[in-house]
Amino acid sequence: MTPTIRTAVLAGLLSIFGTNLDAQTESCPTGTRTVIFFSNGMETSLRRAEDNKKRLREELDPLLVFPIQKDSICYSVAYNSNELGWTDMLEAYIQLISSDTARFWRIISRIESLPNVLQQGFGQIAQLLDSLTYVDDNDLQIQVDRYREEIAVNQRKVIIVPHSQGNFYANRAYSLLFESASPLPPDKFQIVSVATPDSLVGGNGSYTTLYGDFILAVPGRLNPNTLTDGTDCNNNGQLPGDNAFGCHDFLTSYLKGTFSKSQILSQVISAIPTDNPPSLRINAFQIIRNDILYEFGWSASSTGEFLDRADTYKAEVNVNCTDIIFIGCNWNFFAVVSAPLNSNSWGSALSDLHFGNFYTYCVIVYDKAGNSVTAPQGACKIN
Amino acid sequence: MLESRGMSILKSKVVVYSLIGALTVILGSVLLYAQSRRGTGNFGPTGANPAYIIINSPTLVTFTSQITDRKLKKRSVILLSLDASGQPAEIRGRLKDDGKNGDSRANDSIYTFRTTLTESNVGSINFQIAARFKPGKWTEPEPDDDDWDKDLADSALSRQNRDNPTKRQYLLKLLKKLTRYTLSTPIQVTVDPFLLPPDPGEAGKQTLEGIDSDHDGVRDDIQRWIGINYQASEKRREALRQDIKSLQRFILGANDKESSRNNAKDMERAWECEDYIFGTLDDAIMARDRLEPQFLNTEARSRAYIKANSQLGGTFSLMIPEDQRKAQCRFDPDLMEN
Repeated sequence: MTPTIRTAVLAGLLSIFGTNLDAQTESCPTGTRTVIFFSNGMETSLRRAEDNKKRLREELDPLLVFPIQKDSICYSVAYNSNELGWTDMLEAYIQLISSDTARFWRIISRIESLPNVLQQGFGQIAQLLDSLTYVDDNDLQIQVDRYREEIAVNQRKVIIVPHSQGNFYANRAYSLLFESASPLPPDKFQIVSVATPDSLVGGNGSYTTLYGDFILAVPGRLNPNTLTDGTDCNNNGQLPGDNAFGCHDFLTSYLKGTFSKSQILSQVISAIPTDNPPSLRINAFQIIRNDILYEFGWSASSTGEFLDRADTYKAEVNVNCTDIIFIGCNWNFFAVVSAPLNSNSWGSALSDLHFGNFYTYCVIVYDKAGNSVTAPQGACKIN
Repeated sequence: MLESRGMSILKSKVVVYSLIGALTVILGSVLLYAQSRRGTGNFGPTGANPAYIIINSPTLVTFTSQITDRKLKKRSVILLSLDASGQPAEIRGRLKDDGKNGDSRANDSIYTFRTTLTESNVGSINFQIAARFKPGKWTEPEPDDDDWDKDLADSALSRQNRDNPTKRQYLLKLLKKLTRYTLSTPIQVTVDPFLLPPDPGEAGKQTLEGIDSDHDGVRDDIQRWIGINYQASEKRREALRQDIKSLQRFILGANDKESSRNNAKDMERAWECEDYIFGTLDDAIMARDRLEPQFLNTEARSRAYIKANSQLGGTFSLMIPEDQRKAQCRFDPDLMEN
């Protein structure tokens, strides 16, 4: 292949497989109702901040069920960076450990533990950074403008998940947005704080701080409130533990811990608005004819064109199965009805000809993403 | 009677101790003599060319050693391959200074041996040059135990026969001759999975940009690291190369805010591509966590990285839908087998 032809082929390939400009925007797509911003801490590169955001999304996704619509949520990093604190950490490492900085980055990525000799130094650096020294006012204003636009112009809710010094940004953003002359609706902004060095959470939002976290070296911070199960933290109560730096990490510690993870995720989920969901009505009922014929009926309708199919189950009512529970009941799958594509309202009634028996009938309706829009056991009717 | 018996024991002890003393003196003298007969000398520049070969590809490699030491026994210069513990394991051939078979010029004190290497494992193989030097006060006739041409002609030394117990024993006997030889510093030949640039070593750490001998936008040390650690997957190598190219531009443009921000967008696209190629977020993050420290291996690079990140304050990340991840790759993964 001549160089000219090769160049032409390469150019062609790049045009086909290169960047898709339409897909690359800092704006959330139409239909977004909630924007979740991850706001990073001090020694977090954009790369690590992105990975944190992606992991948060990956953990949240399977938990988002009706009436929350996954497609209505958009994720972003609201990046901040303070060169001084980070550089101080690098210099402390070079001075006390080595000029081979590859290991420094392995420590930052938590592939390696922080050597004991650096524990105190890193802690002191964190202590020196308060809201005034850490936050860059210009960067903060850019973030505030973005949050305001999302809330006031795009009619979206903003949820900030700030980690470490990212809390300084989130809290000051809250002050600027809601303690001004023309505040925004307070229910449109929420902070779900993680490992905060600050003494409060803007808007009285919830927070998660592990016992033994590195951030506990900062005077005036909120007290730890989360047990360390499932993390590598060495629980040292109100003070940093032996593995305090590793314990502090969002991805490898907070989103790994049994309690910290479920706490953060549930706090985010409960902050996601569910007002004005697509209307959905699901009914389960029984029809008695001539006192002997039982029919189980159900109907489901929605306005959002998001329903996909319904599964129906029955179980004989017995001593262990008098309530609407799955466990202990001998459930039998007895029919599947799929809604026609693009239908937005449908219903059905199935006959189940059992004379005089006592059964519980349930219907579980699924959306197009495969998630149940009914309670886990379905909408049921006990005979 | 008791006194006489005691005297007798004492005498016996004196005799035994005297004998031990005498033996120690004799042994010491022998060792000193052996040491004096060993002779030592100096090697000049010694090496292999090429020092990098590709797995399972027969490659003609030329070993050379400059030895100007006049005490050298010229027929004694041989090439040894070393085992994993660094001990001589095999005699590969004799280096000559006769202007033939790869030796560029006769009698220029540069000794040469050319051989074809075929290796089936990625990593490195180590060699040493061994040569015998005359002792400082050599007066006796030299024993003719350095006729390696004769020894090497024996098929016992061929690699195919080294597992044969009898011939292996013969090889060990020859290796034993090396006790009177001086060894060069080890020569390393690296076996790569495919064509990769040479390791720049410390020279690659002297500048911010490092050494990129093939001008592909990826530093040679990183190209090697990716190649060796991801030899089984071309797609993964390409995804990581895309990442590194953008990271290289990121640190080189660290002092300019606009450049940093533009380069960050390129990095974000590379990460999306990696997420697609690696299949799971865990694997992609692990790959990035391992690669980044390799790249940021000097103070200058680390400072530039921090500086470039600090230029991104107040930015927001790209919103790239999952179904657009593949499109962020600047190569076509479908054209690659693995």
